[in-house]
Amino acid sequence: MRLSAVRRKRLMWAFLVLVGAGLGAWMMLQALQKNVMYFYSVSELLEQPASSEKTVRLGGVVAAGSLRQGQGVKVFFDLTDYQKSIPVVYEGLLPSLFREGQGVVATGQLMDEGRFVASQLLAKHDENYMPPEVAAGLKKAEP
Amino acid sequence: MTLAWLGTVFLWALAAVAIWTAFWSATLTSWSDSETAQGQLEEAGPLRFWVAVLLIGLTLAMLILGGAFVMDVFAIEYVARHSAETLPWYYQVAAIWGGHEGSFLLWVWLFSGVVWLSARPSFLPNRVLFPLVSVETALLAAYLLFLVYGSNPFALATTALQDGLGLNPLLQDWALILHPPLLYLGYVALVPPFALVMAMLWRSDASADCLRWAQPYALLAWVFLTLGILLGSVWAYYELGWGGWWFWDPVENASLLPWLLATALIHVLPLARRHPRFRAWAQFLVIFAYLLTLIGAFLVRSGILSSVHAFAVDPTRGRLILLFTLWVGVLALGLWGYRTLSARKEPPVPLLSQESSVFFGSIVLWVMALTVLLGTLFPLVMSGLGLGEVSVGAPYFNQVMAPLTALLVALMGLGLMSGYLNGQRLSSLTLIGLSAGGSVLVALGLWLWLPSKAVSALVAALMAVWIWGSVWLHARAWARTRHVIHGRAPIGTWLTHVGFGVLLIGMVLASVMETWREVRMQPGDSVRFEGQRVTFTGLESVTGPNYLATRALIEFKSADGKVRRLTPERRTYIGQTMPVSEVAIDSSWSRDLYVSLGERVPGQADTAWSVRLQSTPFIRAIWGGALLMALGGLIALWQKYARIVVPIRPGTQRHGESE
Repeated sequence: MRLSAVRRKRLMWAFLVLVGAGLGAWMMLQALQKNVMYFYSVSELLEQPASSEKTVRLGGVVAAGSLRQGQGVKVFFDLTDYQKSIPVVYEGLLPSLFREGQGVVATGQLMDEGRFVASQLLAKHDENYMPPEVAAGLKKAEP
Repeated sequence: MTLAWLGTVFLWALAAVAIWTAFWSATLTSWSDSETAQGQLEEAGPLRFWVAVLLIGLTLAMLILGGAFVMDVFAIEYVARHSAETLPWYYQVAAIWGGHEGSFLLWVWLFSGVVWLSARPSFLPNRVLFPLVSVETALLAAYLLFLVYGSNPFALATTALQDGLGLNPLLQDWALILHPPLLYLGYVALVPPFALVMAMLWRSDASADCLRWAQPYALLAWVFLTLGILLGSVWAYYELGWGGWWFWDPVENASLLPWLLATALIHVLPLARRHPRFRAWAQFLVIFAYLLTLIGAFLVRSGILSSVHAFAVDPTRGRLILLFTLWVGVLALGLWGYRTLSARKEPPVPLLSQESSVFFGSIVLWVMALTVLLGTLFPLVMSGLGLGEVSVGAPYFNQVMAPLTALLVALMGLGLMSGYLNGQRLSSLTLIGLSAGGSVLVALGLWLWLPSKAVSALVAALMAVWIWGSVWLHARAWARTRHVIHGRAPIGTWLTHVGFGVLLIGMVLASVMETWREVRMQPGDSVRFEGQRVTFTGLESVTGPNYLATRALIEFKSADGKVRRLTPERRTYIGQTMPVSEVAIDSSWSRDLYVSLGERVPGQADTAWSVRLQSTPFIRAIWGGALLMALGGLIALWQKYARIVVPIRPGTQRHGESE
């Protein structure tokens, strides 16, 4: 079967567009997969620890009496879901209303020795506000 | 009490008027096919009257709510939640849009404004006016019903309060007075293009008239969105105290998405007017742009996101908006698909031309919007399907947007210089190669001069030089043909594209060169930062009109002995528990020194505070670039479309429209 010149040209174009779109979509999904951060509650992260190279978000409540001041602006505290807890270290300005007993979401990595190194802390701007993921995590952890 | 009652009745009545107008103009649309043109003319007047009634009614509703705020009517729940007696009057007025209900009323009010504006021009033939008004008022009716039924700002409080709860301190700021109205103006200005396209599809109108009349609104939307996003970014930079200017926050994305599409529209609409081949694509982009404003409303107002912008959590609201979006989307895209499939094929345009550059550029912009949309909605979809709670961070967006931006810039340059390429002695390809080579050389020179030697700075310099060079070629081509065309100089086009180059350089330099330190300091402490000696000299207490603040006195001493004093504050507003940071910034053209005061360090001697010191080079280039773009848009708006708003006197010659 012989294709006319116009047909062949059109086919080539369609092929190029398809390849381009496929390549673009593949790159997009790659970028997405690489940069997606999973959310864990405290118990979930202890049950199935994420690799220390993976950045994850950990939600919980700052355990009462656990907040300690380190060198400079470094702080240590425990995040808990009232069942289990994980020690967290963070260096930087604390968000407003960061208090013991507050729900926070920490972004960072779980190190092999079991300590969570946070690069960002989110506490919300309202006394009674609980980040939705944290609330759900607490509910799940209830025995 | 009476005010609340009056407001609610008003909104119901207006919803009824909108529904009635929508039905009536829909009937007129189907009649106007059969009736004589004479009969229809008489109906246009009353139709415009009812459209004006909607605008006046909503203006009154705004005034009533504003009055309730200024007169401290705390019997109205919305007022009680967002105002207080001590709040200065200008913030009381701005508090109208300080929460979900009131800001939606503002949106609807501005909506009625553009409906009125778009129905006003007397040159609109009835065959366009009737479906246009019908689609617009039908949408307006839906918004009004949602407002009065689901989120009535005039609802009475269940328990009467003596004083209001006060406005969120983060919103007590001049940028926040202007930011929402500007953004909403941008959103609603995308409605007339949508309605015009629906009018085209409804009556299977094959002419380009509707696309032409959609042009000014697309440009209007683009200018307001640019300004709104700029202000939001400025506000985030100095008000949130983190020192960033763009976070890829879902709500920021919600404003960026329509902006990307509006950018595509202002280029594609003029193109589609001249070339029937691009009409279906232009219509698709218009529909998509409008749907993105709805998706934005869904993201912000459903409460499924935790963000500074997100309003109260109410899942039914979100579901309503989502259903409405789906319904409009299926209807509009379905009709579009049906009409497009049955349309006849149009002749193509040459590959190396302004037309194809603009066309491919608009595809890139659309793909950009899709990638941002994917990253924004992905967490919601995952969570909705029960596949886990995830979030997509800034790296994803940066990674996909960078190559797309490079592609867009390449096409932008090609499009701008294509007018120059015609009729030269050398072939177009040779000239493009020469321009690219020249850009690389100039960019290398610029790079050596720039304070950053990062590769990304070189790429940014190359992109900017490529754009500026092609603007120059565009200007030369214009100068060559000005005697023939007699158009006004497209200064707006030039300014906007030059501004985009400035913006690119600013964004890249501010990102790669930003440095910061977070330290603990007490009075008397000194640290070194960016070659300066930073001393915490003392603290003082400040009493503002409705807040108490602690002010830190911080001294920057540079190597040459120059001393600058910065005074960041930490404020606690009356009735609020959350302290907010008021940063201090020392600006020069090439960099900002930024200090924000954190918390008093717990467990230490009382006087130690955490302090963030930050140096952000060339952030002025970001603001300046965006301002140039908006200014260019305004000039273009004035040059091309002023005569639509300001009626032309008879005898005034209409100049040829240049693109």
